[in-house]
Amino acid sequence: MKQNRKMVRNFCLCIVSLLCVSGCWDSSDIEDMSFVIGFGIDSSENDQTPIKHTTQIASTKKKGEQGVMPQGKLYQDLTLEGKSIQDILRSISLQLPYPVYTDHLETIIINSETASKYDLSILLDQILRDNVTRLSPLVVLSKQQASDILDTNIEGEIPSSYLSSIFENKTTTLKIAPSVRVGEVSANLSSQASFMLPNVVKQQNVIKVDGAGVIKGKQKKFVGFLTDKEVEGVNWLSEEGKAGLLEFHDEEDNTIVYEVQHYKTKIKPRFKKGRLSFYVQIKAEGWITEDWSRSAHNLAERYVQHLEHLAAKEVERLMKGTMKKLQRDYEADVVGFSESFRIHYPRDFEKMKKDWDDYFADADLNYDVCIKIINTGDVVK
Amino acid sequence: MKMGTTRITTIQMVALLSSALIAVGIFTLPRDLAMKVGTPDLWICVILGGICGYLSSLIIVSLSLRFERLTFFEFNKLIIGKWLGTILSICFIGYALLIGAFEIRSMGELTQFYLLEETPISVILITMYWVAIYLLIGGINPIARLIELLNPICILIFILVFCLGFKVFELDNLRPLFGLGAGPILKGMTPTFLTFSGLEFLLVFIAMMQKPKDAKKVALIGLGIPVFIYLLAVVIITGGLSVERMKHQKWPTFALIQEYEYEGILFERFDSLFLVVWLIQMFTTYVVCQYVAAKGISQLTRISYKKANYVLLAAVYIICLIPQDLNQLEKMGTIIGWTSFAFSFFIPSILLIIAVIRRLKHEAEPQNGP
Repeated sequence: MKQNRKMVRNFCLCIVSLLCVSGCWDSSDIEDMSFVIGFGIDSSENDQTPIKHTTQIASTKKKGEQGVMPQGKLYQDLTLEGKSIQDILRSISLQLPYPVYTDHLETIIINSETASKYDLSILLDQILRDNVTRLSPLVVLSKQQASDILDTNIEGEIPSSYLSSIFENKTTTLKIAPSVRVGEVSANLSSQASFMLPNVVKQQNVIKVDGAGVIKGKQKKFVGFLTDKEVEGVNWLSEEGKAGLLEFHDEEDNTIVYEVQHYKTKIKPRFKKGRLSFYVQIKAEGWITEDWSRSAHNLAERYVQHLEHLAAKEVERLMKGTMKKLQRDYEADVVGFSESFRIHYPRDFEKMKKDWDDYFADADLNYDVCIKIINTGDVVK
Repeated sequence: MKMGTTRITTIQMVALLSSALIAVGIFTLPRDLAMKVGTPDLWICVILGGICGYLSSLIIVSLSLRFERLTFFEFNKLIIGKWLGTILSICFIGYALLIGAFEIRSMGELTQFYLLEETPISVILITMYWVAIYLLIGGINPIARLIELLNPICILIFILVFCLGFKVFELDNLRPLFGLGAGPILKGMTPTFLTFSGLEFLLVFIAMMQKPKDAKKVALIGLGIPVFIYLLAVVIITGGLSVERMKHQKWPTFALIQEYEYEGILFERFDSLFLVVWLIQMFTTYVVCQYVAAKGISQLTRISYKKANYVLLAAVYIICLIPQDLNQLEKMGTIIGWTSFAFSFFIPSILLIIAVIRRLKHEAEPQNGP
């Protein structure tokens, strides 16, 4: 009798414990999920649905037979129009059976016209509020429609992740604008600082980074573009680049290429009697990697010094060109001078940070560039 | 109960204290500081807060050492009489419950926001309670052992996750030092001191130490570890996000971890790892709080420690569902902070002064056995 009761008890216990063994009832196969890799934000002509939003989803479904490279695109673009981004994202559920996951988002492309029409913090609001989307995706601008850029058919690549890998090249060129994460964009927007977003263009079947767009801090809107030469100047001024090339000419217009190994930029702000000035000091080291001049004497100390002088002049010219555009045309500090000013004059900055861009536009600049050539290559002419 | 099983070693005590101190502050402190201070000097507040915490823990230690082998619930009667002492004890129990409920609720909210979006919060809370009650029934020893085991791993992972944040670190965000003078730093003292609430539990635990003489050492190391972790967190978050950004981010700590990605090492993203470790810390803090409350009840009344635990479980569950939303939860945190100030500094110092004036002292009877 006693044993019987024990058995019944054990039996009940087993049944109850089955409830805990739920296993993977809630699982979803990776093939049945849609991973969002890229977002594109455009505006549409329709007033009722002002936002045109493109969602790029990586194809996880295998097309064709096993073992064979999948034919066709690796991605799927869904372009929808609506009033809010969240609504558009949810509308995807009307046409795609698989749930959308945004935690692998890599790139957000914003059409520059849309960015000049809308406050950027509005456009990115959904992404910043969302609990799944990370803050690491990159934000880029484009003159063309973002949906077009996302639909670039590169063999075996998904355009948005292809685009985000291009920015790893900042060790080879100074013409590339530094990549900007959503997190940084939000930081700049909330502190009303101006900043720069890389600009991408599509030429036939190629995506390319070409210059950058300036976002003005106060309006939080796009105001204009910088060419890749001007971006080079920004990189020199802000120390954002890693390494790259500097092309310059000698008196006879022969092209000489100086490869910057590393460089340092020091910004010394001065603020006296309401007059703001910056002293920009640059020190660079590098090699001569190409020299078209026929009269080159690579080993002569005088010749190397002459080249150093020419290179320094070129850097100064680049920076002056950039600053002219930033101060006169855009009145936007995208080179991070506010940081050095905040560090040196914290009290004054507290009062000035609201109208920083205006102060920046009126600032005087002095340059001191020191270029060192430490190697002239493997050739003796 | 056998002798020796209710005593805890010095190392266990260090782990216990530091676990109780590392809690929801990891998530809330950076933003609180950024809002209050507003300059990059906020890390100095953490150090100053730590020093203040150590000073008040010294008061607690010297008070506890005057009454050997007696917990706060027992010796306060000796100092200020039975009635006042009982009222004080009840307040202390209520306060411990409040912290416990607060920690477990914050844990539930964050878990729901980042991990289990569709799970009802009560399910998250109740599973935690069940695990906790299983541990709590065993008394202080299993709790101390578990914490001793988990604490070093948690600390290592905290350090790892924060140090990986150096990828987005910019020193300029931490400059200038004392840019706007010392004024803002003083403003930041309150949130930091409030973060170190939990110190007052020493009032109960010193009585259980095998070597109460080590209590000062325990306070130093047990406080030093959390201060270091908070300091690391605040420095790296400030460097990575900038002060301006910390103000606008609901949970800056998580924002920092979400901002970097690594390729090539075991994990690419560290949010889940960090959350898991943090959950463990929240759990241990909750267990410590509930233990203190249950112990208090069992020493005040005739209810046994075990029964008290079950009763308190219901109480904590009800308290933790009082705040309707995150803002109210935050208000609850502030109230806790101020009560903590009373219990870790104000009350111990008054008790100590009275005890010194009245020359009260209590010596434990010599122990039998090992």
